[in-house]
Amino acid sequence: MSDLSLQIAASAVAADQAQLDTAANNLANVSTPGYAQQVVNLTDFTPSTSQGVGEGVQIQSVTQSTSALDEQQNLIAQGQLGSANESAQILGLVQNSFPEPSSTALQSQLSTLWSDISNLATQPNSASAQQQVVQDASNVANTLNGTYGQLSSISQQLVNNLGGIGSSSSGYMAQANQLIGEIANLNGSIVAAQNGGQDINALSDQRRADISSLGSLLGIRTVSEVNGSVTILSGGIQLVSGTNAVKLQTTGQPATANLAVETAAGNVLPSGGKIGALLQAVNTTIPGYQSQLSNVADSLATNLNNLQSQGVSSAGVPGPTSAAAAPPYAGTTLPSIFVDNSSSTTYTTGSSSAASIAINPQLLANPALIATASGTSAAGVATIDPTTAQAMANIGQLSTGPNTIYQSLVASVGNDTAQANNTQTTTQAMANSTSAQLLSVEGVSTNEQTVNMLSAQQAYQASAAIINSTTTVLNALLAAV
Amino acid sequence: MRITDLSLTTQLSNSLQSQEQTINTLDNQLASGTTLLTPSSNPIAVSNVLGYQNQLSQINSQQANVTTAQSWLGLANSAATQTVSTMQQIRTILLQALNVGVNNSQTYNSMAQQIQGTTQQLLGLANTSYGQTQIFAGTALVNQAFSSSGTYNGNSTPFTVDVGSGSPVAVSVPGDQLFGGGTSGVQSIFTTIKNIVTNLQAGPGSASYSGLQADMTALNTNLSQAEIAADTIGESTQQVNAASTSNQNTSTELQTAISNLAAVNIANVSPTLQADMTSYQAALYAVSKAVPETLAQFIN
Repeated sequence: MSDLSLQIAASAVAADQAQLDTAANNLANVSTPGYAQQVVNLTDFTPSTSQGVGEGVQIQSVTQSTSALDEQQNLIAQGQLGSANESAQILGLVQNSFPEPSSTALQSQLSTLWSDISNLATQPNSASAQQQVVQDASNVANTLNGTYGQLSSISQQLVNNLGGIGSSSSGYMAQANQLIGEIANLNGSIVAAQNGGQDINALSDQRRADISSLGSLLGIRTVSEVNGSVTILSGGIQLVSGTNAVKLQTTGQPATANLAVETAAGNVLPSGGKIGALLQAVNTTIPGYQSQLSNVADSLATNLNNLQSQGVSSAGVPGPTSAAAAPPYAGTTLPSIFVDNSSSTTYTTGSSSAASIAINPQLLANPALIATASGTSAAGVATIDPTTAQAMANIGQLSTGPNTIYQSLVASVGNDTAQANNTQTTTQAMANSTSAQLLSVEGVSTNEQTVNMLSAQQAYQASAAIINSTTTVLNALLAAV
Repeated sequence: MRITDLSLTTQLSNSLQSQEQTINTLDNQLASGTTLLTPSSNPIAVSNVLGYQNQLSQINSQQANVTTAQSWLGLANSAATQTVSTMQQIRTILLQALNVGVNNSQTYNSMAQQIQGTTQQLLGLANTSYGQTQIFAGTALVNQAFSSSGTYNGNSTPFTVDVGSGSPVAVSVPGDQLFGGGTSGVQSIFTTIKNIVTNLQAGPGSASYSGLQADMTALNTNLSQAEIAADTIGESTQQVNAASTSNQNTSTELQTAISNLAAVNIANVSPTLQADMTSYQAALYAVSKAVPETLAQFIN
């Protein structure tokens, strides 16, 4: 009988020790990502004696408090948040290329151009007014080139972040492939440990953290298998199944708007997570803005070049399509104001024209070659007729003019960015709430663990007292013999 | 819901983060004086502001043109007025010359000298320039609108300036419409003067009398043409002044519209910022109290 008390006390001490250890471990991992708090599951020994006295306590298992539902919800939210964060960040960068409203950006430079042309119209033969207009036009072309270039370099940087074209071993692609490989390995280890009756908690924690990171990168969902492994799916495509890991690589390219992520077998992944947002920006959003910016350049160049071509300069040089240039006139004609690049003499419209639009070097060298007079002015006769200059000064107010197109471009950048920021805010709130929900199930509460620790400590002390008391009783018995 | 350390700290730090963002935005607004810090601050307002700024810029440049137009018209008006008055002086002298029986060769010669003297004055007026530009040469770029012999060197297209009144306003008249000659169909005043002087120098007599009568008809035509030209210049001046007033009003309206959309209302922002700062401090206090207080502190 006293032998039994010692045995019971010993089992209690072991259980208390396990509880103390678990509390200590939980407290140690209070801020470890992916850690789910551990709980010691105790059961009492089934009495083997007829008296009905129990035979102590046994540790059945140490398990984790997890919630598959909350994890799944959180995983979806992490994928959406990854996408929203990346979108908001990219658009924030893009927006920096359009610092409007301001007194120095493109809109203001266009306004300066029109104002100075309007001033030229009041003194068409003024060399300084001509010089000013050519300088303004050159500034506008430079800003268009610069803005287009900034967008290109953002796009290039994003492609680099992804890991480059046709790559699988750097940037986000490397991260994704590494996580997929790790999850497959962990699946193997967990299945083996579980079959061998070993502890899988630490492995599960690590796998949970990896899945969460992968979810933020790609947008995935998981299916828990009976054997303890987890299948990872992106859309209908399996990324991890048991210990099989799929290798991801990029395919296509931004120039053809089809940069995407595919499996080695050639299955293209649906868009999701950070990578999805990045692909959207590189394939669609940024090229769209560049194309709109080129529309600004095209409208500017086409309108000014047309008027230039139809007009006559104050020195009497006719534009090539002006009435003054009609035969018998056979002299030189005015050059285009804007050209494709500094070595070209004509302007071509297109979706990347903003990258290369340049002021004609002939005009830079001789600003007097700007048309100010009506096309019906006589060729070879100096004139202060301001008709063409007045028409040029009004280009800024045209409903299809460069200012209007630029305004709608700024509005779409603003709208897209504001929308991305709003999405980020809502997705963040949702992710916060799913994460809080998950942490409230899986997380560690210091106070709770401290209470557990105190209770284990007291129970430990009680068990020690029992051992002491039993020993005293046994000693008394021995002394009596 | 069960509260765990991570859920608590995550929630607190999210809450601090969101308050910091709000305060940062308000700080930037106050520091820059505008609520439209980026296109995404308020896309519709930014787009409208860009549109208004574009209109405002055009109005400002048209208003700058008003100054040029007024200078031209001021010069043209003064020259036209003096021209009309000089022509009237010539007409007065010519009327005396036509007064039968009063004049002799001497008075005719004296009259001829007086009228000859107005030629230089009229040439000076006809060659009025704004900067280097002849204002009575139409859109022709010439050194002198009228040569010393009185020949018109300009063309018949008036120089115009866009002051925002719809179509550009003529800020002068081509010289042939004020002084005759050119393609105006009216005999040049300089020819008229030359004829008068020749007839006067011939001395009183029936031939010169009928010549002077013909000159009177020609001078009357010159005078009425000059008066019409002066009226045209006056009308243009009124048009430019009206455009100037309208530009100023529109400019004020646009500036108000821009300010309404973009300017920071300090009366609104300051109390909001104050309130946000207070709740931020409260949140900081809550964090400093909430995080460290655990049961562990009370165990010895």
